[in-house]
Amino acid sequence: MGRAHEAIARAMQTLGRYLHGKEKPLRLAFICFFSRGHLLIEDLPGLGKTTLAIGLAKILGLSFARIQCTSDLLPTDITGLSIFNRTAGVFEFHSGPIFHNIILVDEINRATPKTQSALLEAMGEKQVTLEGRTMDLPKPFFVIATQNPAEQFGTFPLPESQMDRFMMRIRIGYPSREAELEILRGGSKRRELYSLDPVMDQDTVLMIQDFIRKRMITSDTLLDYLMRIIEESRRCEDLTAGLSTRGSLALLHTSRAHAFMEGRDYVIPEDVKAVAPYVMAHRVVFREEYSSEDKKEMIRLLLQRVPVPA
Amino acid sequence: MVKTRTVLLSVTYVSAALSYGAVFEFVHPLADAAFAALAALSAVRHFLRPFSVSRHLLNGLALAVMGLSLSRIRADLLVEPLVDGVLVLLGIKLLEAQFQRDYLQVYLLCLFLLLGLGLMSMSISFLFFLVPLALLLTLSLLLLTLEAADPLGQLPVKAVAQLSAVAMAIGTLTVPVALILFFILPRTNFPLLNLLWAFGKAGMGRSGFSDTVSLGDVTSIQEDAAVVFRAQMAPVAFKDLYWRGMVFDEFDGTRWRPSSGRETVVFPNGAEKKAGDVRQTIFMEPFGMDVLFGLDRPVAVERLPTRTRGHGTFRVFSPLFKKTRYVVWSRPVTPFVEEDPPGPELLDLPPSISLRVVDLAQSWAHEPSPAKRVEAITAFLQSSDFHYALENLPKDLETFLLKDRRGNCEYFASALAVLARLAGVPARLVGGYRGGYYNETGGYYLVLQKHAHVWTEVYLDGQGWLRVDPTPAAALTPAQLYIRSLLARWRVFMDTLNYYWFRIVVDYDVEKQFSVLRRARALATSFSEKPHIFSAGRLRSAGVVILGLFALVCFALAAWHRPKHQPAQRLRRAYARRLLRHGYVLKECQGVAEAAKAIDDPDLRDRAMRFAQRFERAVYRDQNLDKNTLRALQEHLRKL
Repeated sequence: MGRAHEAIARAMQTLGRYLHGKEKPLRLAFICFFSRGHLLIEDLPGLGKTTLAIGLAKILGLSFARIQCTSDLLPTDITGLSIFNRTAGVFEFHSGPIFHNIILVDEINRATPKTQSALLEAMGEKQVTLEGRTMDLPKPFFVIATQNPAEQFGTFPLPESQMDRFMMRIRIGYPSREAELEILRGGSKRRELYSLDPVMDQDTVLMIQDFIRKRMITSDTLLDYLMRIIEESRRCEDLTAGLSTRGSLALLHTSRAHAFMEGRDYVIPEDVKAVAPYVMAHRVVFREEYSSEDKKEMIRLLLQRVPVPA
Repeated sequence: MVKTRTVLLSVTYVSAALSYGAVFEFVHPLADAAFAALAALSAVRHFLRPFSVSRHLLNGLALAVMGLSLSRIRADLLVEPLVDGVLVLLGIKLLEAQFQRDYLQVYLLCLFLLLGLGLMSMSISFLFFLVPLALLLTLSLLLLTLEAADPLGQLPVKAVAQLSAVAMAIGTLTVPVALILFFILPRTNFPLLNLLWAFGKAGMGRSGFSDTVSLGDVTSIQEDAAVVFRAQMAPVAFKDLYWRGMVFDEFDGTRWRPSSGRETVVFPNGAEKKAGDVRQTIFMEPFGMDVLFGLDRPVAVERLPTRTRGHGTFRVFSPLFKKTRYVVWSRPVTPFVEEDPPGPELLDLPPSISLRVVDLAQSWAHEPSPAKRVEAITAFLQSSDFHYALENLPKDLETFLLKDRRGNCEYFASALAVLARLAGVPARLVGGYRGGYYNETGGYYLVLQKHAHVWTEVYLDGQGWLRVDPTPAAALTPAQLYIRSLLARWRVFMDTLNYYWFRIVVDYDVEKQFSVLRRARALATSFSEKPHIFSAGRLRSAGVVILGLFALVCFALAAWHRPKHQPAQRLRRAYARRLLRHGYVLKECQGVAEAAKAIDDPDLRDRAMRFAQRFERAVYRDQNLDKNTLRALQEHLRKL
């Protein structure tokens, strides 16, 4: 595993050059990726979402596709479709962009609910059924969807139940002054990004994912702590709906990935606390009066009420 | 957070104050003043404004004090000067307190003072001082260790509470051992410390009775609320409640004294008893009296060799300076027939007797019989002209009879005796106690010095000695007044404790040791041989007792188990305490590493992180805190 950690560190370092001051979102993206989840980035355009996705794909040696959502985007535009080949006299399947390892779904809230559902189904099942044929999606499969919270007109915001499909929801936020100055000075390095050398290959990535899922040590004490958080979220009066079981699993997997990123093979409460705001905020339903508050902050408050066992 | 040193000093001061309170009533006023001044000075030094003191000067002072107190020691004043000296030394040491050894010396001196109390008083108050002092001293030693390990360190308030709990636990642990030692430690039947007590006590000289009765004497005794004796017996009618001590049959015009006569020695052989005799077990307080008291009137004394003049009074051969238990058989009948009729000397009066008193006595000369004459005189004394009083007492009998007509029991009893003798009836005075507070719980009469009383006995031909108490019956005696106050009633109620303390602890001698042994053996044999002797009722009650004990043990075990935390939690709390010492708080919701990361000081953060990583690895990875890990973790903690 030492090799894996080294590779991750190198990847972080390399990508850090292109994503000035974006270490934290990058890290969270890695965590989300290694815990086999999908990432929802809720932010304004032009803050480096695409750079992040391309960088991630390139550095991990994976294939990358981008879907720009519009209101006339059809499900087949994502999954692909069969076209009649006149020469061969057969229908040939032309795979859509979803048959890649890392997919950037830009402005997912601009797609129609039908398209959104097709995408989300593919994300959940990791397979696509088309014209009676079921096709497995490549492994690893990682969707980074972005959503522009400011744009309201002509959009179809993801309903809560579908937000649940995303393991994490993060924001990138504006870069710091120094980072932005650096960008202004050096200009965009997007082109260089495409020529990045990968630091690991597909097999290594799968191995890491497998390791995180199966070999991380999660003690009963820690599970007890997790359960306390889950129970608190269900009991909490500021929330109308607590964490679902899928949410609990997501919390566990991302905590494991976080622990792995920290170089440990066991999970500690700090891991849970580090990822919980990103995992929980979009899964629980806050009361009306809190809808405008910072939800991550409220999750942090919730965590402060849960004592750490031992 | 409090400074360990402040806590240590406070506890030391409380210990010193407690030991001072223990011996307070026995020390010389000068020693009192010296201690108070030194303690105040040291409080200023330790708490308000530090100043340095010359240790040489203090050592010289200490030597001088000890020299002075040693020089005051006399054969009859052995313990008090030493206690005075130790008290002043304690003050000096408090002022000097700086190093660990100074504190240890202070504690030792506190223990010496308590030992002094043990020699001077045998009351249960010793226990009440011993228990808190033992706890405080244990706590002080714990604090001293902490202070030595970390000078000028700080303690969270919670830790002080925990230390107190530890001290309490240590103290509790010693109790079973102490109990076992108490029961099995070999005793002698000969009181080894008797001599010491005798010397120690004689200086106090708090005897309630002298062998004379001067008019106005009893008054001072009646101010005294000290316990004279406790008489374990069934309650008797108040009219019979006269405790006979001494007989005074010689009058010289101002005072009564017992005539010198041949005394016979009586060995405790169990004299003949009649039906109706009352058995009392008397627990005498050590007042240095050789008089044995008993319900009027005693016929035999068990357990002690005595001497007697044959008129119902018993004396021992040397004054009693230790708590003494004896059994008295009394025959509460009056008139009482003595073996020898009284001699003519019982009609003697000094020639100095006032003629006016003689004239007064003539007014009853015409009464037909001695009994009638005594009745008439008593009626005269109990008429409304005479008043019971404790203050502004008349200077002599004549003034009392003819002018003031107010006085206490001595005046009434003397007057009756003198008038009876003038009227040709043999009469004498009996000194002792009247009344007593009956303690239902302990089943005993508590008799205080306040109950001191003098009454008269007249001899009627053919009937014997008749007890006549001319003191107005309705009058409120000091004893009756005393019991009206709530405090006094509380004191009498609380006396039960003292009573059992004496019966069970102080009076536990070799005889009792053997009787316990015998009983245990008897119980063992009866268990092994005759199980059928236990009736159903006994079995049932035994079952209840055993069940109760079992429940108690279960409860104790449950209570013991409940607060017991996992070692991980204990470590976490220890870590929290360490952090708190550096001013960081480990919140409940924080992980140990999280708290460590929040530390500003990089060096401290490193050390905290080292612990945190090891801890989390042990708890969340290995999920097992074995001994080595625990030791390593504690080592990390210590370095924090």
